[in-house]
Amino acid sequence: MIYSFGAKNYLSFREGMTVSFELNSKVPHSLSQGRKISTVLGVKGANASGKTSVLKCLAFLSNFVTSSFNREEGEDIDIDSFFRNEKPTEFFIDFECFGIRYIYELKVTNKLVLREALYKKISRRTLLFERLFNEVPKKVSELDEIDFIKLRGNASLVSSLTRYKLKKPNVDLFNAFVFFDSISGNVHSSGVLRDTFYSPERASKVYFENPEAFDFVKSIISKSDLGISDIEIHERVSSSNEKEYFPIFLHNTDCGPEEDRWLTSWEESSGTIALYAKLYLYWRVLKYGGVLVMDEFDIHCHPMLLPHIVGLFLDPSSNQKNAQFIFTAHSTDIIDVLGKYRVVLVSKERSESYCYRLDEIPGDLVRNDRPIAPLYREGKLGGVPRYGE
Amino acid sequence: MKVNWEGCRDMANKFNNGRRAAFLAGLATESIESTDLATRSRFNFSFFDGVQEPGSCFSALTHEQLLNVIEKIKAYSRSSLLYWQNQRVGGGGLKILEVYGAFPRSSDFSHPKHVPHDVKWARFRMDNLGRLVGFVIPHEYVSKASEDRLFFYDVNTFYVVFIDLEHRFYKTETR
Repeated sequence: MIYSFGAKNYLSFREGMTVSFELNSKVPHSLSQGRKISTVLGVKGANASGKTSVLKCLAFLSNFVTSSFNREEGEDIDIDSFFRNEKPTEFFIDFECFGIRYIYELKVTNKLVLREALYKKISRRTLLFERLFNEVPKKVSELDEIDFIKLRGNASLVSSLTRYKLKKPNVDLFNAFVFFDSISGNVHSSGVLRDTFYSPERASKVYFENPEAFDFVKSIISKSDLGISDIEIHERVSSSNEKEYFPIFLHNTDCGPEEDRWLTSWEESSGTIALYAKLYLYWRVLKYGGVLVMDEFDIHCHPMLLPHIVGLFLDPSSNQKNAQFIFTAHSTDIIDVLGKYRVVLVSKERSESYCYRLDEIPGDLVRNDRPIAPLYREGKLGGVPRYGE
Repeated sequence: MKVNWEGCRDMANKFNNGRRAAFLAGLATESIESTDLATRSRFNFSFFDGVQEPGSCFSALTHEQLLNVIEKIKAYSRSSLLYWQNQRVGGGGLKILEVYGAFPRSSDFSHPKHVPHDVKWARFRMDNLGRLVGFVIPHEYVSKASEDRLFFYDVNTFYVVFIDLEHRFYKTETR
């Protein structure tokens, strides 16, 4: 689980950005349900305010920590500083994995790692390693084997070490790898995966191979009042002569013979297809735990359905692994579903982004017992487009 | 190597943002209910009578006198009428706001026809000589509303009727 994370000199954030999932003692129990860490966080803001940059920060860290060793030596690191300036970009992420809390810090340019560190907290904060350029001057004794490995300037130490068969495999590095590997979604450090990536055929393959996931999607879609009573997955041979799977949606209607009451994905509404094609992402993170990062998760989705999807993460019975869901959304009503402790607003001034969680707003402007969305629409909370001003 | 976990605060500072801090610091922090707005007195000039000879109209005031009146009203509107009724000024036990009740018998002014007969006449002390004369609504109207039920009578409003620069409204009062 993520406690908090942040970046500096990253994309549209010239200065720092910090995003926290932490729920302090001021949060009413009815909202926190006893959790100290929120399982849901919505990011709102005007177009081009930097919302997606917040999500890209997680996507970058996930990819860099787990997979940067796969890049060729000398290949650029996939990172953009504020307007491509030459100063380093910095990150931190405070997280928990298998009940142990860690902090990972990274200072990097698009050419090389300047500093990388991992801390662990049991009763106190302990430095596990600190890497400066390609040297690791500080490390716990269990990581002495690092000295025998030649680090690459463009690869993370975690990513590098997990590729080697160490004599003393380190559980903390393993935990860090598992955590960063559990971050998934439609955002990558270089962009957002378009809806065309999430084809019904891709999703159907997952559902065919995971009956539990298929039951999950059928349950959500049938509850969503889309007129669909059941879904069947069929096989066919694609134009490239490969086996592929496709869905057939069976409908509740009294018209025509029973065997004709079905539609293909081409005939279904885009909203239905968007749900069908992406719900496996939700199922996977709810089933196995992790962090789901979704940009514009409400696109093609009726605003009244959104609380039910968010509710999957808020309800301890459907989220037994404490999976976290961080997303951007266009729906403003979702602010009142989430409340002030679970909404981060992003604003931009002179091309520089800044963000704040709604409970950071001082005074009694934002209250637990009153709707927040009207305040947001009136522009009192910031983070709204100012067309023509 | 042990490091204090609270060192995370340093990290939070490291990732702070001046624009964020300025935005949050610039937001209004109080609402209507959380301020003392209801207790602050109000001044109404719709009953003003600048015609009677002992008084003065706005145009007859010097720029300095007019500024003085406005500044005083601004200061008085910060607290309730009840508060000013209890604030003494000078050595003679005079209050800043005195509510007389009936229109004084010994006065160079006369009761204007457009002022209701059942109000309580009162005066604000402006300086040694000057008085702001007017009236307040009796307290029994505190929860009564207008006929259309849209507005309530306001016992915390001072209705200005005369500017009494020469202290000729309540002539027996110590200067």
